[in-house]
Amino acid sequence: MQTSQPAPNPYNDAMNEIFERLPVHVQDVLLLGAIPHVLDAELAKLLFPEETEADIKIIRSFSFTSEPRTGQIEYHSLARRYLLGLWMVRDPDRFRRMSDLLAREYRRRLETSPADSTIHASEWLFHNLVVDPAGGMSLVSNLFDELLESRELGSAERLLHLAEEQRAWIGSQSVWLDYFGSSLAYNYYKELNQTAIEKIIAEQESSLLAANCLRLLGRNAVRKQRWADGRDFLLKALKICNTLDNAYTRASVHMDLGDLFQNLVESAGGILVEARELDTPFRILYYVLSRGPLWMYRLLAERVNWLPNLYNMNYQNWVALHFLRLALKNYRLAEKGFKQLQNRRGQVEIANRMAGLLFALSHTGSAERLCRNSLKEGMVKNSPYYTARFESILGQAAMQHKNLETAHEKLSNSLEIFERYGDWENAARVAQNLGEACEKEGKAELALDAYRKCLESCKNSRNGLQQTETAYRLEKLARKPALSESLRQRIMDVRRTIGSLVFMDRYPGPVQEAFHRLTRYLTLPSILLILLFTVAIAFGAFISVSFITGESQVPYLDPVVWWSQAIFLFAWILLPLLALWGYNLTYALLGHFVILGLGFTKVDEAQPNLFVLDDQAISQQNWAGGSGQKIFWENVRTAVIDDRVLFSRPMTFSSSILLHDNETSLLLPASTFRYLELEKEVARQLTDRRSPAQIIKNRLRILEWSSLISSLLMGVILAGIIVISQDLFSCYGAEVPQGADCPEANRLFYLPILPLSMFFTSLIFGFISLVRWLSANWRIKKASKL
Amino acid sequence: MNGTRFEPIKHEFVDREPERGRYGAIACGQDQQRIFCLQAEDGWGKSWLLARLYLDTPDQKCFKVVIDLGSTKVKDEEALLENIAEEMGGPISEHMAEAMETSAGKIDIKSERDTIIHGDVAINKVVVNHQGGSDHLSVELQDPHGYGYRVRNLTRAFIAGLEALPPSKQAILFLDRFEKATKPTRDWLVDQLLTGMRDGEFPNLIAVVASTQPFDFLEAREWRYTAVHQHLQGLPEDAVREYWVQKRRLPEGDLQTILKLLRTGGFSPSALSNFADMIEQTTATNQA
Repeated sequence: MQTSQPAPNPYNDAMNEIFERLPVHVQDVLLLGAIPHVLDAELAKLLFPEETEADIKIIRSFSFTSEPRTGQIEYHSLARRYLLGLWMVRDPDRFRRMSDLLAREYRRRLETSPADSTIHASEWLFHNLVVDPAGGMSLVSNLFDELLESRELGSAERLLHLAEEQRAWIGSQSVWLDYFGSSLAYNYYKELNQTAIEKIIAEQESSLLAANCLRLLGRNAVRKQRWADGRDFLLKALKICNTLDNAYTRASVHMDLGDLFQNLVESAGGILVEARELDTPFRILYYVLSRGPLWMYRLLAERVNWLPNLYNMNYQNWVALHFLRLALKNYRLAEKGFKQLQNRRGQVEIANRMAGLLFALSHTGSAERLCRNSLKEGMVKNSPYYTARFESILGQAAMQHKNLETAHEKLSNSLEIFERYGDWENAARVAQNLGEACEKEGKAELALDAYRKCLESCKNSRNGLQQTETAYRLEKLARKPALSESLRQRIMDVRRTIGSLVFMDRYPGPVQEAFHRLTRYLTLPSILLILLFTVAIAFGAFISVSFITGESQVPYLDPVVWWSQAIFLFAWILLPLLALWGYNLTYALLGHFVILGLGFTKVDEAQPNLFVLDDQAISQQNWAGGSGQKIFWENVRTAVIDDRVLFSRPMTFSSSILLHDNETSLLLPASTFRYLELEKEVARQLTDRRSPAQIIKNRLRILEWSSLISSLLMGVILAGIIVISQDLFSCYGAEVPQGADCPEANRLFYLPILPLSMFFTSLIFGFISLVRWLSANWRIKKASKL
Repeated sequence: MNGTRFEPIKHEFVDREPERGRYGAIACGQDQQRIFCLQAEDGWGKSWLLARLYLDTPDQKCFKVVIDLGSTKVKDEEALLENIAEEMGGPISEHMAEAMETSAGKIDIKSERDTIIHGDVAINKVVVNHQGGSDHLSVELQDPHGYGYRVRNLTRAFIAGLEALPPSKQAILFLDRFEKATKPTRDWLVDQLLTGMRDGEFPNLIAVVASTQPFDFLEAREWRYTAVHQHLQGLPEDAVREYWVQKRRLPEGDLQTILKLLRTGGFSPSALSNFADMIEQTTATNQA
């Protein structure tokens, strides 16, 4: 059997041999002097109070010490490591006492001297770990998290290095260090070793460390848009925090949960419907009708890792609203926690998030109040950045109130700060709002300036999506009638600087407002149209049947006929909703099973959010501006354009499996907003370059609106044909005397004809679509082998 | 050792002639390379060599600074730049001091219409709150995102300072314990400073970097025209013997022990001088 031998350490062996020969007093002084990282006069007085000067002189006489700054002695790391190791063997109790003295001194320095407070705090905690490893580690964790939250990553890394030095001393607590390492990796945007973290959670069940690890996994899942996993991890963490009554971690977890729900909505396209959705009778009707699907959808959306695109599906907006309210609730709980802890940074962070959220929820007044109160806070006053964050929200609110002058002022001030600080995401957002405000003020020249700044910020943040939006706004601005020719020319010159075309799948950003208006104005007419359409079809069918079969024989006054017609009508009215609901449900289940079955875990990571077409390539970018895979035109052999967005994921997977060749194939999964333009542009790029690539449109039309309507119409026609064939089904005619009631069997005969015929025609349409889809896949496979 | 003006080195016994010769060639412009990377194990004399090279370089020819990247104070690139600003001297320090004043001092941002924000941007502060019998630490941010702004300002000022150097002078950065640098510091050094030097920027800057770990970034071919990578070797046995017996005049009996113990791990100059100091101290005490 093999046993692991400690690695030979010739330096330590030699030191063991020679150090023992030193006089006892010198040994003692060297050992004491090694405890702090930097030995200064005050610490020396604490460690060897009797002959401080003489002892410092002894230390200075050894060449393994240096004095980088006057009065600050440092040991060579090799010697210090050896001496600290020796303490554990020689006199651990004394080492603990001495460390306690140093810990108290550093705490005193922390409380009395604001300069270098992070260093003093780190040193305090470093020595405190020796005194009380368990309690000390909890404090280290507290400071470590605070440093990470405030993006003081360098200080956090230094704190981790310090704590690492005590690994041997702190025994079982050293498992915390692994968590710190993972947490730092997360903040440096590195991959996490999930298995290792899960192992810690399993071993440290129901402890603060387990809660922290769960929180880390939760945040990581949120970053990767695995919402359900994130929610599970965070809720488990919250449960542990409640059991342990740890206020800080609890508040942090609430903040993370709020972020989860807000990110979920944002990454799914943002919120499109206002909070006051029940303000008209039609909306109430729509709400009531969609309540069932909504509940089911909400349950599904909370439990699986995606929330499909929100456009065109208004009831999903209610789900989004529900999530935003959950976010708000969690932010409020976090705020309460941070207030109790007197953690001002936490309070300001939460206030900032809440203000943005309230504004998104159209609670403009509350958002404004929150911003104004926060602006009175000392920490916000002293931070131009935070000031700009709150001021920019106030600027947007002022624009909503049509107070354009104030909006202009606040937005331009905020923009200046975001630009100075290089926060390009916010700068782009604010610049665009500013441009809009200037347009409304009728100041086209200033609007152009703002849009130009917006384009610069977009370029810096690599947000191609917003570039396109700005280009669109510039085009609109150039079309305004009252502009001078030179200004119009300048606007178009700026517009032409955007070379790439950008197509989007999800759209969380500035177009949101346009969508918002669009849905607000189109929701009601859409519902009315759907209602009118179904009613018209139903009555049309009814009348055509009556006409064909002979008007006199239709039993108008028979209540059974009326009730059955009413039931059909109601079913038809619900049909669009139920069809969509069924479609989503099928997709959710199908998609989820495909994902599970094929072992794909990083579903959403593989999804492009937008495409950027340029002269060289098509590339995928996520909405945060990060670029993904880039496919050069000359490498494209097959361009596959998938069908509807909802089918994109399973179909992308199946196509990838069929193709076995992702590098030279271009898959455009999703009908994007501007889908046709994307399709045309890809085709144009490939044709212009005389690429040998085949373009295959891969469409499953079975549940498209056009197919649905075709099925309905065909069903009506089929029903008519069946009823005409009176010879086959002789219900009416000579056998029935004039004026007599239709017999029961015959009267009910034509009632199921319509739905049955619709069902059959749908089947036929579905079959045709399926054959087309399979043939497209076959062609893709064939093409990929070329 | 940040900013140290070194005193003459005690008990000099390792000359490192080849490394010093190479550095001399770089410093006087005979060699085209301008990044000198030293790699060796802990205690093999990197810091000593940096100090030696620092002393070898005459003040009249350059502005120079030694920065210990493993120091608690050098937590990120901002701290690193502040160190350079404080210690390097000449136009570089002047430009950087000015930038520090504008970016970290009184904030007074004026818009076209009015002054909107006032406030002192101080360092971030750790605050201890005593809650329910236990301590709670929180970081109070004076200006969380001002950090990037200050780094950019200082970097610009550093570059402006380099450009303002008289043609006869150059700037030399001696960077010790590169392996202990935090990620933000390392990223700034590699991605901005050293890569800039590689691509022909900052012609009057020389960097000497020491590390116990391999320099990963040097693996790419394009670095070979700009960077020299040198491994420091342990001492030969003869040099150890000469140092022990002739320079330190210590008993040969102890030398045998040292040789026996250290032979397996190579003769580390630092370890050797440590042992010599201890034996000297022991002997002195015994004689007293």
